[in-house]
Amino acid sequence: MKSLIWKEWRENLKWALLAMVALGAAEMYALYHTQYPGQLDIYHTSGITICKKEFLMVTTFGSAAVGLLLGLLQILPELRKDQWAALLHRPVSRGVIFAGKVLAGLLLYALATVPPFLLSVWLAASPGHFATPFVPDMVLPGAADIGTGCVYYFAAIAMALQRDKWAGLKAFPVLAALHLSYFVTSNDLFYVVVEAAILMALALLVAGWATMLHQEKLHARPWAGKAAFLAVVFYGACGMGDVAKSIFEAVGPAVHSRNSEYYVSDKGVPLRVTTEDNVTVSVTDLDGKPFSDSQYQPGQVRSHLLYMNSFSSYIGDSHGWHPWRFQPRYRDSRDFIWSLNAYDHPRFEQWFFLVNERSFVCYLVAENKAVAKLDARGFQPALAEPMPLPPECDWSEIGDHLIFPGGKSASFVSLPLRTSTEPPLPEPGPIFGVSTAYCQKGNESMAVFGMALSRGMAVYDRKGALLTTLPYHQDMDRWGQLEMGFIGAGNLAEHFYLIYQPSEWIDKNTRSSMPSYLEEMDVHGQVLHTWTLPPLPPYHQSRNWKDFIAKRIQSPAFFFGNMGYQKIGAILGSKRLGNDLARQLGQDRRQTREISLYVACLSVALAGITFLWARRVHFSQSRAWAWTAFVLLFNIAGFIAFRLASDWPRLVACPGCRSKRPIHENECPECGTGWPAPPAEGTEIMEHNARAVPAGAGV
Amino acid sequence: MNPAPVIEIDHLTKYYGKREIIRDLSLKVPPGSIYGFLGRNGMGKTTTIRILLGLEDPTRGSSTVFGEDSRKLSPETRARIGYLPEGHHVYGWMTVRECGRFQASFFPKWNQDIFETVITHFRLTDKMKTGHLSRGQRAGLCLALTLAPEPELLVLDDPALGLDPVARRSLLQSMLYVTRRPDRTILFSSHLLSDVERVADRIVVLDGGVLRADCTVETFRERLRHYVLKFRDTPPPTPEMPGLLESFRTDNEIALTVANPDAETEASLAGLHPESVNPVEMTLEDAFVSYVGERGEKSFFIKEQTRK
Repeated sequence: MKSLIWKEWRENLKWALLAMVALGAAEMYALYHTQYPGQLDIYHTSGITICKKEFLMVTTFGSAAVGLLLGLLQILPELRKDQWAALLHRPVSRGVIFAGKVLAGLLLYALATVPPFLLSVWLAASPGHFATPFVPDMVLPGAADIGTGCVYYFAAIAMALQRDKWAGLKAFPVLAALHLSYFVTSNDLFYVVVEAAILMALALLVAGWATMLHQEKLHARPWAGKAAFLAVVFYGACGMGDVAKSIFEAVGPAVHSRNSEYYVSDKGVPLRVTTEDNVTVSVTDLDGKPFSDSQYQPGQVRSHLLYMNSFSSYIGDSHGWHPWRFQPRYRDSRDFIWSLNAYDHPRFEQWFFLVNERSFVCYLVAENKAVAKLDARGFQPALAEPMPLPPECDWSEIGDHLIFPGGKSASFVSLPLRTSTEPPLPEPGPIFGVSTAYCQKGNESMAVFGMALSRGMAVYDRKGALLTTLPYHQDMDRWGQLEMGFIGAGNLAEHFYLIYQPSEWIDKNTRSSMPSYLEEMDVHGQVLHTWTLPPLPPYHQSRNWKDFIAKRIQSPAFFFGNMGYQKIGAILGSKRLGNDLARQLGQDRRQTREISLYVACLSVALAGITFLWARRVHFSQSRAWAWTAFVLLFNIAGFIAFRLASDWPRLVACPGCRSKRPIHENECPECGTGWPAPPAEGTEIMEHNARAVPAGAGV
Repeated sequence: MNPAPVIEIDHLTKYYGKREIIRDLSLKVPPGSIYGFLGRNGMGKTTTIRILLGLEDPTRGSSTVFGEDSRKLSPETRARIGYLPEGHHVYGWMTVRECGRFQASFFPKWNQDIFETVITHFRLTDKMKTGHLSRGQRAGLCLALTLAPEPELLVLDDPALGLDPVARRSLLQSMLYVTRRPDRTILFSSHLLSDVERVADRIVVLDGGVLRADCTVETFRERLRHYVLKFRDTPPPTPEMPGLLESFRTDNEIALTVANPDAETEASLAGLHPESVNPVEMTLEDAFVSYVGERGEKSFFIKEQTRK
């Protein structure tokens, strides 16, 4: 084994070093590359340092390419018949040869991928290189990519060892790895990604090992190898589906969406704005009549709407319902670090919120170093041990001002001045939520915080001065979702607007038939005007054929198995799995039933075809049944596996009855005759009783 | 009682796709014998060897080596089999010494003297990079690597393929020098009988995947006859006769090669009323070429054809 590892290491070290240099150069370029050269990307829209999209692009594709190439380079050059025979004939088991190759290959893969990544991590983590914080969780996306690249290495080994066409069964291990890549880059949870990568690596490793033991026939491989190989073919078929979906997405019919919403114009006029594919197509009044004024034409209206925080959060629901939640994604640095979107330029310092530490940190942009912290104790030096903000402590921001609503009071913080004030509330808490609103008039702009209390909304300017309190005039139990806006500039707000929308706790059908209300108030909270906003048509999306088809041809084992998994998870207390199951059996019940029917019918039909076909080409009864069961469980992917991965018998005409018979059977299944001996020509020279002569005696 | 055969092949058949490469081959190789495995290129020699060593599966039939099923040869049994595949592959980045060490690490037995004797015979030194060796030297190194573990069975797949006559002679000499032990069995394939006749005491001929001969070299030579029949005029058509391998017609001669000739054959020839019938001594090489060459009648300078 040691000799084998040494040989593989020596033979392929040059490739690993070359890959390390190439990958390192690409990662450094991605790390220091900025989307807009010469400008600071203060919003960090594509992520922070080693979570930047460009960097992750390199780790995703680079690791996969390195894994794939190393695997192929280890096997293909040695696969020439005589060379491979010389390797296999050595007096060690094929399993040992495989293990030697794989262990050396993994070391080489680690050499090619890990040092460049560690260098990037060191640059991102050590002070003085970037004006951004570093948290350990930022390593996760790159680590997931390196793990996925490892799966590509196993895929390359399995692919190279498999005897088949490159455009056929041989491609399936790589397609399976491709399916994993789709999963890794689209899934939100790191631990789920790790589980998937481990399972796929295991399947490919065992499949490769079994192929090494027996390259020709599937049925001659150990049972674990057979199962792993079929799993690889199944996931390969899924990968093929992913590729087909991507192609369909690029060339197939586009998915259209249509949505209508209420807005208030900068002149205080309520508007009903309809968008198609996020492009405004109509602007009407509440009666559905279009405006003649040019500023309300679809192409112009966006510049004349009040910013009411409607895209980010609802406030004021007394039931504590928060419909919008930040969905954590392990690949998105916003999962770990929020960049505060201040809009004062040029800026010298940049604040970040560290999600897990629950504290803020400030970086001096020019010097790439941390200069201050903000945590539960207030402002602190950069090197101070952080004291996390309490978990229930939420915050909102306007420019470089923050508000921290507490249970009974709220703190207003000025980041540049490092000051904090806690003005009294106009009525006792609790605070149901905080919103921000913004208005621009000519060259002047103004932003305010709205704080939803029990009886009204307190409106503060960014420094914490109370501007007004807007009392509620609707049933807050049923219309508890509030949006707030205003018209004003400088330090003077003229009119305030409150939109009351049906509360999120009410079921979807009832909510869709309830009206909303809009109130215009003056600075004293006096209602100037009330509008009833009729219910809007629900958000509509045209059929997504890609998903429609994919859902209906999925594997019954996975479709029903997933529901079973969710059920078990719910029983064991997983809220996420319980919610998923409740959604499938609740609001999506009709779709779930329809998909079940499609999946079951298609599987049964394909299983029937499989059985008939298998028997027709003389599969044994037991093998035909086994494949039928496999197709029944795995649907189209199972059928592809049956056609490509089964030991499809070669048929030739029977010399006895002329019907087709398999070449590997000794007797014809139709007429029962054996194979005739080669005809004697009379030229045969046979001498069976010759005495063995000692070697070398004839020389 | 005959000792158990080292190699036993039983009704072996192999297809590649729908093409039959080996058909119903049965063979027993007793211990201590040197078998020459002969046939033209593509007749199934290498495939048979690969099946024997478990590197490929038979379509039907079976084979055993040292009584063990070829498909499940244990590492211990493999250690008893020395195999020199055609192509003489060595890892080009290794030195001769590294090649030896690498190979030695797999085998329970390693005779360094044999290794050094053979590499010295081929004028190789320890520090030479194997990637820079000539074809003959590479073949010598491969032979040294195959012989040093002192295998009981030596399987050589066309070991002299692509070598010049000097290197070929050198390779065969060293092989014979090192393997002159009565208990060592050798199966060695070639498409050149001249290689085999120096070494083998028994030959097996495969033609179109079918076993056509399994005999000693002497028997093979004895059982093939070449006759030259002279005629006054255009010779008559060659009659159908059992064992006829080829006939070659010229203006007034027929040259016939016949396998297993007997009195009936000679009577058939006499029935053609030739002016003379001359049995001609064939070299073993000529006999082999006739045996595995194209069957049937060939002609050259026939008067009727020339007139046409």
